[in-house]
Amino acid sequence: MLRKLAAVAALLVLAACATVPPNPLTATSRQAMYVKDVQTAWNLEAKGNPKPKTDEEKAKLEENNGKLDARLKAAVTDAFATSPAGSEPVTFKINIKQANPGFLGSVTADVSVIRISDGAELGVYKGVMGADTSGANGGLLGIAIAAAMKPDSIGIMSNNFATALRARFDAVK
Amino acid sequence: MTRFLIATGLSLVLAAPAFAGVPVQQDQLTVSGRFEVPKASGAPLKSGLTLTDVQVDPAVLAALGGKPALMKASVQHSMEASLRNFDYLGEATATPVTVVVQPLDLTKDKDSTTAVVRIAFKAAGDTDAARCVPANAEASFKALRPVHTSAANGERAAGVIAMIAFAAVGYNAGQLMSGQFASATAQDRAFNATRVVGKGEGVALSGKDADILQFAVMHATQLAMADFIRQLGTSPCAQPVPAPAPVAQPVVATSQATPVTTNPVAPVS
Repeated sequence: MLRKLAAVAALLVLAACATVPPNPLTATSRQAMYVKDVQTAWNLEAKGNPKPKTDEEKAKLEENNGKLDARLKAAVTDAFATSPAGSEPVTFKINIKQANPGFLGSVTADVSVIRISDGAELGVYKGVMGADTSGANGGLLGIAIAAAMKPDSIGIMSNNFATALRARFDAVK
Repeated sequence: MTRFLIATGLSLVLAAPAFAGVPVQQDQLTVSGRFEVPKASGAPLKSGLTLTDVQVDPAVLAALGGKPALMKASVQHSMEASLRNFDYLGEATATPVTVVVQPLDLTKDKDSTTAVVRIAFKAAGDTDAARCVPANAEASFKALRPVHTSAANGERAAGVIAMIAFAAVGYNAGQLMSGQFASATAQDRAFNATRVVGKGEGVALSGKDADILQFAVMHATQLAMADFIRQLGTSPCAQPVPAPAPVAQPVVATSQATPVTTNPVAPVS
């Protein structure tokens, strides 16, 4: 629990001074496309990911990763369902590098935009992150109350990821 | 007691934006590549049209939301973007087309609203392209009232209770509550997306009457524009002009009429 608290605290502190990377796609190319497909690929990095010790923990983690996979696809599909509205079909490939699904969890991925007609990678949104920070702004008590409420953390972090990706996609520069 | 009242009031104020209707965006009206309608195949229609004037019935503008003047411009831009997506939009010298989005036909019951949108097109001049422009396009869309799942309702209730509980002990749980509401909405949308709907039907995103009407009119307008583009793509003008047969040779039917394939408009996700 303390590890999670430290991680959330670090997340909040770092978020304040984070700089947004430049948009890898120009406005013209973004307007010309539409998102036809959303795919996921799991390439978890050695660091920063949970390491289950027992079979039970492993099974639970796999179950939660499966839920996260489905919710991420649904959230990103929903966020790009009607916009952009161009004529060039593209696939968003979510390359998941870090996933800690659950209360106060987070997911980090690189999202590649791939043109379907020739398979060309048009750009990559690196390090897009979604997090469940339920109650974190209420301090220790806030987190305790949020934990008692059992929020839909995987859903929240997935929606947060889709919102972050949409903001990066819409960024002017 | 005062704290609880303030907390409840604050939670209601924060919850309100989650339900407030927002104007339709240009992309939501644009016919994108998601629609399986043919692209312009060649002269005279390829890059052959330009929109000079778009008139929209006030009831349509009101249903789409926002300021009428801005929404009218948004409708025109979406129509231009739609034509551009399928290679029909040309430069200013192309055949000018005026557009009139006519008054709505609405049918309502307690669980749905059906909107019929009719758009009239008039091409100026006596060009080949002008003769190819269809005079009317029409589409109907039935917006169904969304179902709220009990799981999502529970999430919303938990969010409000948490907000009040937090405020009572002096903490602002707006972030938690907005996260819960977004998650509940996503759960509802995921469930509603699995509902079996017919062609030209869809489940609205919100259960408010104005939002259901907006959803129906938005999709009917988009589908009517898709109908216009489909008509352009399947008209005789869209077919390549056959090369003239050599005079000295007997005329032989060298080509067979291509079977007409109707490209149905893709279901709206």
